[in-house]
Order: sequence, then C-alpha cells, then structure tokens
Amino acid sequence: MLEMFQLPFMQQAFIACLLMAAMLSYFGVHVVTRGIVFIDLALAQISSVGVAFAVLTGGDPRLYAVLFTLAGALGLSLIQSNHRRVPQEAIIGIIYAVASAVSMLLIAKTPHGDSDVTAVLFGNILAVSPQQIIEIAIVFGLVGVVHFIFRRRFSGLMQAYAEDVTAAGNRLNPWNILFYLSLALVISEAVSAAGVLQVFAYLIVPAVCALLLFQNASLILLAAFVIGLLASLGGLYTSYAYDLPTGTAIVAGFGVLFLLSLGLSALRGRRP
Amino acid sequence: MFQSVFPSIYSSRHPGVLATAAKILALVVLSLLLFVMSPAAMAAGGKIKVVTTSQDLAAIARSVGGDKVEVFAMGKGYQNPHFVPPRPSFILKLKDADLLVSSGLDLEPWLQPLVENSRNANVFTNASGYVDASVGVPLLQVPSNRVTRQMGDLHGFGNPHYWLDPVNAKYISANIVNGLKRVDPQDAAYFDQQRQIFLKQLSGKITGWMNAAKPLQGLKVIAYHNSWPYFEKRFGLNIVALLEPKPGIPPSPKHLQEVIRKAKEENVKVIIMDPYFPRSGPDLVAKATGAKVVVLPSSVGAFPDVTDYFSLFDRQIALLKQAL
Repeated sequence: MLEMFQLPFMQQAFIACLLMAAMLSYFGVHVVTRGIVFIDLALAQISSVGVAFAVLTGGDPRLYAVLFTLAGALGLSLIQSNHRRVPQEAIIGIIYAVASAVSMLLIAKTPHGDSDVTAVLFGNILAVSPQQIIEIAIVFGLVGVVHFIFRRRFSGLMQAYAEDVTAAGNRLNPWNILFYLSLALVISEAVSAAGVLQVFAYLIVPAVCALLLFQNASLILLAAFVIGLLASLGGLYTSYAYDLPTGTAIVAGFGVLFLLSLGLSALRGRRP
Repeated sequence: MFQSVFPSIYSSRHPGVLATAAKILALVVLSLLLFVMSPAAMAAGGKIKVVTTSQDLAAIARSVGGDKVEVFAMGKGYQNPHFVPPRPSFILKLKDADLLVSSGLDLEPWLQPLVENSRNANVFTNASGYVDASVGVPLLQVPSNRVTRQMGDLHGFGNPHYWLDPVNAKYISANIVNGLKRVDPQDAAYFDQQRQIFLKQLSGKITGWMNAAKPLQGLKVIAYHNSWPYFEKRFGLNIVALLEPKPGIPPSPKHLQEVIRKAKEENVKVIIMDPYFPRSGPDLVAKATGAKVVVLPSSVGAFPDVTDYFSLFDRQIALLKQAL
C-alpha cells in the first residue's frame, strides 16, 4: 500500500481525496440532516448548463460553470417549499431533471459539446493537476474559514431546517443563502476535479455512516471525515493494485463502509 | 433527534477528539513527505518501453520494433478512441516510457493530463520520445477554414481515423521508426530492416485485400460515426449517409428520418458501425429499410480474434462480404 504513495500522481490523487473528505463530509452532515441529499446532483447539472452555454457562446467553460452554479444555488436557497406535502427534495429533483434537459438541448447542435460537458461533469481524479489541487485548497480553505468563524450560525441553521422546513423557509435568511453559495463553490470545484459520482459519494456516504454510528455532534463530524479518508485510501489502493478506474473504486469503497456502518449500528440496536 | 445532537456540534465537550484528529492528520502528512523523499523505483533496463494510445499503433510498433521493444497500448480496440477512461497503469507506464506514440490530430483529448501527471519529460509533446503517428499521412476531410467550437467537431484537423487505410501504415511505421531511432540510435539499421519486412508483408496483404474486396466496389453503405472515409476510399465503398449528423452528436429523430429516406432512395443494404456505439439508431434504420447492420472492428483488439493490424482488414472485408 505504501509504495503507491511514492508516485506523484497517486500523491496528487490522495491529496485531492483528502481535501474532499474534509470539506464534503462536513457539508454532507448538513445536507443529510436537512434532507436535501440530491442538491449536489442538481447543482452539478446546473454547472453543466453553464458549460453548455459556454460551448454555445464560445466563453470559458469553467467560468460559466461556476457562475451558473452560484446562480442556481441562489435560486435553490430562495425557492423553499412551503407546502407540507411537497418536500424540498421534490423541488431539487425538478431542477435536476430540467437542468439536465436544458444542457442537452443547448449542446444538441454543438458537436464536441457533449465531450466538453462530460469533461466538466466527470473530472478524473487521476488527471488532477497540481494547479487544480492548489485551486481546490484555496476555495475549500476560504469556505472552511467562513464556516468555522460562523459555526454557530450554520449549525443553528441546520437545526432549524431539520426541525421545521416550513417555518424556517418562511423568512428570507441570509445565512441560508450563504450556506447554499458556499456549497455551490465547493461542489463545482470538487466536481471538476473528481466527477459527479465521486463527489456525491464523498458528500453523502460519510455523513450517513457517521449519523448511523454516533450521537455526539463532534464525533459525527470526525467520524465522517475518517470514513471519507478510509474510503479514499481503500479505493486508491484497490485501483492501484488491480488497475481499476480510480473514482469508481473509491465509490465502491464507500459502499463497503456504508454496509459496515449499517451492520455495526444494527448490532448496537440503534435505529438510524 | 437532531435537536439533541447538534447544538453541541462545536462545543468543547470533547476537545480530546479534535486534538487526536489533528495528530492523526499530522502523522499522515509527515509520512507522505517521507515517501516523497525515498528513492524512486529504478526502471528496469533492456528493452525500449513504448506506450501507444491505441492497439493499432501498438501492433505496428511491435512489427517495426521487433524484439528491441516492449509495447503497452492504453486504449483498447473495443473502446471509443476519443474517450478512454484512465487507469493507474496508464500513468505508471507513461512514467517509465521511452517512447509515446499517439494518433495526433486531437483524437485523444484524454492523453495530455495523464502525460503531465506522469512527469516524464521525455515523452512530453515535441520531446524526442514523443511520436505523432499522423505526420505525413495524406489526410481526408481537412476543414478548409479554421474550425470554431460551434461548427467544429471531434475532427477539427481532418479525419483522424487514418489507420483504417492499410496504405497509411507506411507513414505510421515511418513515424514510429523515426521515434525509435531517436531514443535508440544504435539500433537504427535494425529498425529500418524491420520496417522493410513489415512493408513487404503489408504490400502482399494489400494486394490480397484489394482482390478480396472487389465485390465491395461501389457498395452503398450508411455509417454511424465518420470513422470510415479512409477505408471507403481504399476499398471503393460508397458511404451515402452518416447516422451521426456531426461527429459526436447522436442522431436526432429528424436526422434519422432523413437517413431512412436516403437509404430507401439509394437502396442501401448495409449499415456499418464501430463496436462501441449504441445500436438503437442503426437498428431503427435497418428495420425501416430492410438493410443489415454490420458491426465492423475499427481497431485492433475490437474483437478477441482481431489481434494484429493484418487480421483487422481480413476481418472487416470478410464481414462486409458476408453481408452482401
């Protein structure tokens, strides 16, 4: 296992994974607790609309991806379902489907567009460049600092939305908008480096496992990070040892950790 | 339940946990640094390590390199050469490679980040260990003016599927031999000799294929992707329509209708496609027109029994004749 870390490209992949494990496991706890699990897929799809738009107009795909994702996040933070029988997740689902369709319509007449959108949506962890890692570290670092300084605000927010979305959503909350915008930044960075599938796994699985295993909030955050780290190491190693696509191996590793967590929590007789 | 959990989320009730986490993190970073500093694995000597982007280029490199080379193909013949999913072995092989042979013409957009991450400056573009196999090939469908992204396509420099005319192996093998001579000048005469043997074998095979393909002269076909113009020109086929309106764009209903109309008008009996494209479009046209769908190997390795550059054309011509 150790020899793979002598290779610069595996070190780069590991550092990228480490950054994602740290940042996404934290956001994952928020997202899972608030019941907006598919927010990541919706935002990624909106970023692909940005890429498609850039391809159509000849603009910079990365810039448009970030701008569209931020705009989408702003919209998502404002559109709150006030209806008891229409959960927020349903609205996110609609945005996901419509954004997918719009990006396909935009690139329908632009050859190569498909592969441009694919390149943004399915970044490959093996192709991550040192510059990309630095960019990710800066963005994640800034977002992390903001979330750390205002940690009480954000945890209060999570609690409020987890308890009663309707009541919390009835008033315009600038902290909620900030939460969505920072989530959008983090996701568009992560997706361009590692692809939608891997980012979704990093966001959701560690949080779910940690919530299954622990009650204490600090422990939940720590466990989520450790689970992200374990899946990264296991996936990178499996991919290296058996020469398998790396992102896919990591996601499969998350699957194993989820089953283990489920088993452990069942043994302890705790209901999820 | 979260009510009771999260107010304490950042409380200092468990300072020990966070401190331990910080220690673990420090250890991980420290051990990483140690790995970086340890000596890199020594590359094994002996043969010239050649990495190619496709099995076609690998087959030709093996022919001209003989027992002086060890060849690894990243893309496999059953994969779309435009989109090959990277695996760790690609970068490992690139790291130790003496020679990298690519198809050029932007056929392989996935290659560049992997080469950069291999940190092997010997095979960077324009370095002595880099071969663009397309140099000198008389290209077809070269756009007359610079192609922008909107109107351009996967084939911005001309059609990149040039290995599907066996005569072009003359240029491909010359490019590879030049690369081999750059990295191993002592064996220059050997590589020249190997190439002569390969070309002699090839010209015999080409005569055979031209004879075998006589019944295919003027055969009207519809193709899925625009991969076949070189094959078409060499063996006298007539591609009357493409299922993809532009390379990389799946057929729309309207385009399918147009293809069906054309197929009926021209009485097309054969639809050819590469193995890695979806069959639904070709099957639809086949059903509407009574034509037959023929999945042709478009690269060495596309089918298990297409193991070298010669069996590629053997198989293509045999399959097309079967469909007549």
